Amino acid sequence: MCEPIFEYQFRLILIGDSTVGKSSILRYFTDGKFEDACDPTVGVDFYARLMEVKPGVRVKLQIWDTAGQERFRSITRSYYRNSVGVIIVYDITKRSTFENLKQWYEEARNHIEPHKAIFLVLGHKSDKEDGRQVTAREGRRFAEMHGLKFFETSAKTGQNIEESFSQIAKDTYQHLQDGHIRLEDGWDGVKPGFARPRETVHLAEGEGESGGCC
Amino acid sequence: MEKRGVPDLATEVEATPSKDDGGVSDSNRAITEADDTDLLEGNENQNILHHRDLPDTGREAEEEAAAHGDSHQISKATDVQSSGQKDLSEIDRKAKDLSLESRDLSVDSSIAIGNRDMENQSSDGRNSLEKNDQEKMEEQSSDDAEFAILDRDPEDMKETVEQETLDSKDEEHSDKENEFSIVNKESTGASADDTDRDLSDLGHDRCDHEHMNVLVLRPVDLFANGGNVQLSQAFYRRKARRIQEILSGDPVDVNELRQLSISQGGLLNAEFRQRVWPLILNVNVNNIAPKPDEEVLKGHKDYSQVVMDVNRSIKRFPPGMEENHRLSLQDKLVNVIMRVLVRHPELHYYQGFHDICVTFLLVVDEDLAFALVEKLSQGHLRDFMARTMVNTQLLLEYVPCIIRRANPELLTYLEGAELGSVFCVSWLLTWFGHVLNDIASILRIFDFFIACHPKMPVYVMSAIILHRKREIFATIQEMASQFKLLSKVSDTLPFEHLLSYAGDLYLQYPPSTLAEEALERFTRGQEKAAEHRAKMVARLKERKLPDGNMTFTKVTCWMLGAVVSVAAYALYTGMELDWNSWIPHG
Repeated sequence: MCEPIFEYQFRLILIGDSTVGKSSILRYFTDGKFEDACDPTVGVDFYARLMEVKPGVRVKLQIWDTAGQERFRSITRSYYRNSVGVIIVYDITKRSTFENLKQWYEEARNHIEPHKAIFLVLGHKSDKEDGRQVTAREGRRFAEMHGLKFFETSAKTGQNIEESFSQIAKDTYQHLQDGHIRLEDGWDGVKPGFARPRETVHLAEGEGESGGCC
Repeated sequence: MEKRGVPDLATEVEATPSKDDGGVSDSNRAITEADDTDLLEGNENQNILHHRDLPDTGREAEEEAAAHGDSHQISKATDVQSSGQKDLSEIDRKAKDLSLESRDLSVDSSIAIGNRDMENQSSDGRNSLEKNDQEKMEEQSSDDAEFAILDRDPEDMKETVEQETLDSKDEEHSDKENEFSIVNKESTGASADDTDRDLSDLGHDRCDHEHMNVLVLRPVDLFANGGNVQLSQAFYRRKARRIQEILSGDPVDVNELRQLSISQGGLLNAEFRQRVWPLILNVNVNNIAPKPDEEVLKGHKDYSQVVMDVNRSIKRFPPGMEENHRLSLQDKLVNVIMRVLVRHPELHYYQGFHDICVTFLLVVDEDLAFALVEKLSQGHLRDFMARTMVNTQLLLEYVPCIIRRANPELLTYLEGAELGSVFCVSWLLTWFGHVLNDIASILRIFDFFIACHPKMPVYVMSAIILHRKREIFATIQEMASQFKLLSKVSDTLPFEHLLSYAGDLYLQYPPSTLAEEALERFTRGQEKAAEHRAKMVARLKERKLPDGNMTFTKVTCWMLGAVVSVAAYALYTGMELDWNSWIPHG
């Protein structure tokens, strides 16, 4: 098997209410598959994929999928610290999940290293236009108000899934280039890839495109 | 007799409440005895605890004597272990030297050797052990080849098992090993003649049971294996006969059923499970609380969450099941969960509870599933259903405590990777229902857990991690890689062996000996989190401060500007500022 080559590894975390489709997004992103029914996440799941942030530069996205039920927050909280990016997901067909966005945003901001975090808001299930309860404009307005990037996505049609992750990967990479984010010992949000001699051993572990649960 | 060498009984009593006092003491006694003994089916430790077989032969005196021998033996065993990890690492080293073949089998050999070491250090216990074996041999009148293995010197048997362990390259137990443990169990009750008669009575093989199952078609029967673990036919028949015998006894010997539920193969099939689970859990099948009105169920605060989770738990139903059938089962699943929640406002739904409930619903009907789950949720599952996850998190901390004792290097390695314990939270919360695909394995594990101490799941979790030590050491010491390796549990793991190993771990490191360390680990984790949070809040404040100042400055400027403008306008127009005119007169 050809060893994957990547320059950096970015750790992201997916949060949002239960049943908004977090796991579906990740399954589509890592496997290209969509299932109508996706098992509830119990605790935390792990996904990984390589992505090109500019021609010739690949990064490994390591994404932590979290259970949406509130009682699991005490467990998932520990995953914020070592993340560089947070993706907050709501369901465009369920207003309450949009109304909880702010709460999720606060939760993440309170637990993540503030100057390092890169946020992305996703209005999910955009294929279900009939059941829409939140307009794209509302979603965008929330994101802009807080200075975050926004996409409407669908794991069924694949709409904007690739673009969303590409966006957060590119933004992170850019922050890294600009010096807003630095590699730090004891922080795993961004880690060097294979290029650093000390990390050569990473090769053994990164085995490519897939990952994830089920 | 009550204490039986396992010190954590007090908690046990609380953890298994039941309706009448008699039931309480009875079931607790049963748990204790089960804990002490039959967990060890399938390996050498069975020998240490052979006395369990004696009561069945009606020898009261021996029972007493053996009970003492037992507790002595267990405390010895614990002493040996707690006197330092030296012994264990020594064992591990030996195991490494010996098991050149398959990594997964190293655990087997380490157990075999470990037990021998322990026995050697406790010669008096050993004597009683040999005495028990002697008595056993006198009872044996069998020429059954499988029984012959028991007639050999215990020392030889050990060699055999070790040899088998080393020889077999397969992860699964060899049939021989299986038979070995069966013999221990089977010899307790019926004589060989009886057994032969049993076999003919029973029909010829397990097809017999499949026929029985067809009469009452359960969802679980729609799985390819019908939820039955792969066992040798001879073993299956013998054990089935034994369960049948006990079930037709009056009164039914629940302790014996509990042991059969723990020992190899568990309760074998759905029909037995349907009958035995209520007995073990002390559920009165004739007095199940009726289902409340649909409206009451729907009015519960967790109703919509439950429906959402059930609707998307399709993976847990047999793949070939007709959609309508599945949908009606999903409705029943919602009912089972909601009935428990409505009846017990102190219990809280958690994602994963549905994985436990569906397992029952595949085997028994809605009412019984509810009654069984209700009982469990007051005992085994109570910690998971508390208002917060604190108890669950505390329980998870038992895992590193067990691993540290059994293999300190392994824990050091995992801690170096900062793995934490979140990767296995779903194992615990769903009793492996969420992570395993094979329903037969799940049901087998359920048999085991239902009959064991409520904390047994953490021992099984530890056993799985310890079992995979080679893979862990071969994987980079980094959190994500270890998480990825360990969070999935393969259906091909040798579960019978792992359950028996978990039983060993339980005996060697009973919960009471771990409680303090687990609490300490948990507290340390919480402190660390609080520290981090304080740091983050401080940083947020730092960031907010300039923002706040800026707003203040802006507002001040605007107000000053406004006052100046009004004044300038007044001067310009020569307007008289008669404040009195602002006050309405009259």
